[in-house]
Amino acid sequence: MTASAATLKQDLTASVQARQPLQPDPVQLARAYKRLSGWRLLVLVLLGTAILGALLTDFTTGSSGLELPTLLHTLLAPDATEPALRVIVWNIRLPYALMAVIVGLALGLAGAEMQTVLANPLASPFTLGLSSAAAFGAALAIVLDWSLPGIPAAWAVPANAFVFAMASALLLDLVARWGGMSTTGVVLFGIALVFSFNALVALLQFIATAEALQGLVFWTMGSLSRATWPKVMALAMALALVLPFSMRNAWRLTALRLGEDRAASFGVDVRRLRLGALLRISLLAALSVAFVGSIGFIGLVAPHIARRLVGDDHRFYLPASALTGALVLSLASVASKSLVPDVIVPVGIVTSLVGIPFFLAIVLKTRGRA
Amino acid sequence: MNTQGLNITQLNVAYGRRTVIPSLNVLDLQPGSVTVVLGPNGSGKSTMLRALAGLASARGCIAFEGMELDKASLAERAKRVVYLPQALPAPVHLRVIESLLAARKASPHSRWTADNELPSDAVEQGAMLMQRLGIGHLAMRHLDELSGGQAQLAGLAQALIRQPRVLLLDEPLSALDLNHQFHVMSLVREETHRHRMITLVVLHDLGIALRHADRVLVLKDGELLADGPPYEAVTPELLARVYGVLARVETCSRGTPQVIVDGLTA
Repeated sequence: MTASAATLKQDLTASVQARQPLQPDPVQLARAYKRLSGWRLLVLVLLGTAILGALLTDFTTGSSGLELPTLLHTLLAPDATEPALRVIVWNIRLPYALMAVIVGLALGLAGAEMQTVLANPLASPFTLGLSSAAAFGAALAIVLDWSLPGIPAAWAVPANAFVFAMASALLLDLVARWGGMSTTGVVLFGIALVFSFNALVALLQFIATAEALQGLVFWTMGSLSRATWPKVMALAMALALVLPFSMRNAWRLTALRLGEDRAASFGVDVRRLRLGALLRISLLAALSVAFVGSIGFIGLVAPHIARRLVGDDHRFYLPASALTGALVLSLASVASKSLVPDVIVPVGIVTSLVGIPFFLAIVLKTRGRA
Repeated sequence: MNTQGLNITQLNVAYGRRTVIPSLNVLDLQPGSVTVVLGPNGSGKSTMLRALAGLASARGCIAFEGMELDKASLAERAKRVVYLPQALPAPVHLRVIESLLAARKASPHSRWTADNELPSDAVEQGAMLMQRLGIGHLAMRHLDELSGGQAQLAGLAQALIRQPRVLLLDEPLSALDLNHQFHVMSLVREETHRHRMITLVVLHDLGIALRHADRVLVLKDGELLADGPPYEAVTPELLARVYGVLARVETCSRGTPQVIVDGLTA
């Protein structure tokens, strides 16, 4: 390079450097970031506290008009209370309230992972057909006694729900990746899945016996009223199994938010990450649907609230979304008991009524971006 | 063959039945050098970079410091090679410093051997790198709030925080204004020299290529038509053959070579 070219380069570099804003001290910046992380942990703690409050309210809200001290006494000293009260508190109120929290955790976590791996703000087990597919699998077991070979009869419903949820998740993944579809295309495909499986469930309803039909209606509405301890424990165990794997992948999932090629270039095996996440999502969505029916919009709403609260760093975002899901569903459970006196409205109806305006808000916000 | 550098032999890349690069040989890409890859749209420039990064399946041999990268796992390759795609980082609700941490912690990464200036704390390290790139003030801003130029610099920081030995940049200037184009290329050169990286940059701007490259590769239809120092590789004959333009390569009053296009070839 000639001397004059070098001079020109120096001139330009100097002019660029002169335009640069003041650079903060890295040590100060690291401190500011640590403060931010502390604040996010506090948000998680506050969410947990709010859930405890909602759980307690849910626990004490109900048609039998029991006072908080009575309920707490029954809870803490079950042997010293009368059997009828004990049954109400331990076998009805407590599993009901806990189921709302655990299903909320499961759907919040599943929704957050789904939005990340499908790179779609409208993704959730409910909006993209996983819940409908799971309901269809469950309906097959209820109406036609159809189940996978080797599965005990008692587990036929959740096993079927899982297989169909997983199959539809894989189909969505296939469409999203190999079909080269846009965000809108994936959502439309998911909606097609919802309609298809809903139609198939309706067909099964049409041919079902009166007894089976009663069971099926439960799926379509989404209700916590059939919560039992074994179901609560099964879903809690599934969550305990899934959460460590989700958290172990938190950095990879955060990197995936930057773009698929970028994440792959940073050494993330995107295909494996996505498959693992879809497995986890299917397990959580299928068990939730198998136990409480199709509860909509929790998996859609919770991730968006969580993202606003703690951002896209998945170390905070995943637990925040799970906790937000639990809080929203627990509050919806309280509302479902309070809306109509002496009647418990199926909680799925409440979440849908709350979720639809939220869904429309996201659609309007993301218009033109897809 | 020099085992210190990057050597590409008989690289063949195809998407299904369509062959994009039939057989490419590029030898002796040296540490501390910036190589600019030129060529018209669809000539295989991005495909070449993606194949080097392991993002497109390829046959042939990609040897780096005695290691056959084409046989290494994605994670092993990502320890040494970082590819920055043409698209800007997705506008997500993530602070810039967090995006650097995610890039660094997504998988194990290499270390610049001669570099003992960086602190052990990952956040401080990211902050120091951003300061060097002149974007320290953006560290706590969200990616979805940045302008195109700022996002491009944030993307470059995400790549550099992994301390790559081979840096692959796919049209890093496409979203940038004149000032940022010059700024980014100056930084790329500076970081390449400082850390003895092998840097390959896909560009369309011949002026920037002539000014910033140590070596130029010119591709057309997946074949290498020129390979050498910029002033030797970029000639009027080559420009006519590759781009179909009548052009002159002239040195301006300050000694910088310029490409002047007079029209299209018949």
